Amino acid sequence: MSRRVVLRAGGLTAVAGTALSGCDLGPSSTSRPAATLPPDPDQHLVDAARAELRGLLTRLSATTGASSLVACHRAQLAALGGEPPAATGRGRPLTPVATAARERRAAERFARWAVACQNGDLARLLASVAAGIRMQPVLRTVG
Amino acid sequence: MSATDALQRTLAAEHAAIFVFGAVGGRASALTAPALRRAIGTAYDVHVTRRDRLRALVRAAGGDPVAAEPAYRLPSPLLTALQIEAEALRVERACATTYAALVAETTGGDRRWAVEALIAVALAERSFGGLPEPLPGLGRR
Repeated sequence: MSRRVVLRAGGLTAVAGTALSGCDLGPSSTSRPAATLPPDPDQHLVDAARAELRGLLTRLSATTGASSLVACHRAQLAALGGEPPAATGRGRPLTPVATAARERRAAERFARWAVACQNGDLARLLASVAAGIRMQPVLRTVG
Repeated sequence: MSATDALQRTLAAEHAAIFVFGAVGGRASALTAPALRRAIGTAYDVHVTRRDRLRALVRAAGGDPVAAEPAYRLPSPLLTALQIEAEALRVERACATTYAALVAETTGGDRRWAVEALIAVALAERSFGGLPEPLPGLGRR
């Protein structure tokens, strides 16, 4: 079994720093699986992050000249363990100014969620998404 | 890794970045590339400011800030604008990875600062020819 990090939030899998060792438990282990796991404190942030990216993808898929942004958000959503919206291209297209405003707001949200979440690996991922959005050319030229 | 260890590791990365930007700034001064010279000068100042902040954070955490090495290895040759720009970009990318790790290991105000630094470093990559990427600081995939 590969030793990829499995972040609990939402079944999120991501490449990150440390590895969990749950698969190292041997048959002699006295540990018993918990009947029910406690609620994940970061689940609502993962849900919100996925919803934010899905919303952007819906609008950007209908927006001319936004293919690089769509590719960016698809990669970010995949890293968050989310599925892209089923029917893309049906949202209302965004103007360049509206695109920049939406992207800037998304970057601010991801930065805020990175600070708020409890899991460090998830924080790193959310912060990276914020930085990745800020790198996009659409935020270079418009306010 | 503790938060203090992560701060120390980031401080060590900033020491290296300051050395490199000081060196490439000297080389760039001989070139007719004013935009690159300006970008290197700005980067140098920003890294010095972050180094000072990191020293303060390490001390606040009860640690003794790690010192800079006497020297750091530079790639050779480092003569043309393209070579200098490539080295500057390498340093900024390395710092992005370090700040992303710092985000993971800190909480509260320290993490907020680390997030802002990660974003700033990602933006600085563009000054040295860095292309936008979806997940800066998480390694190239």
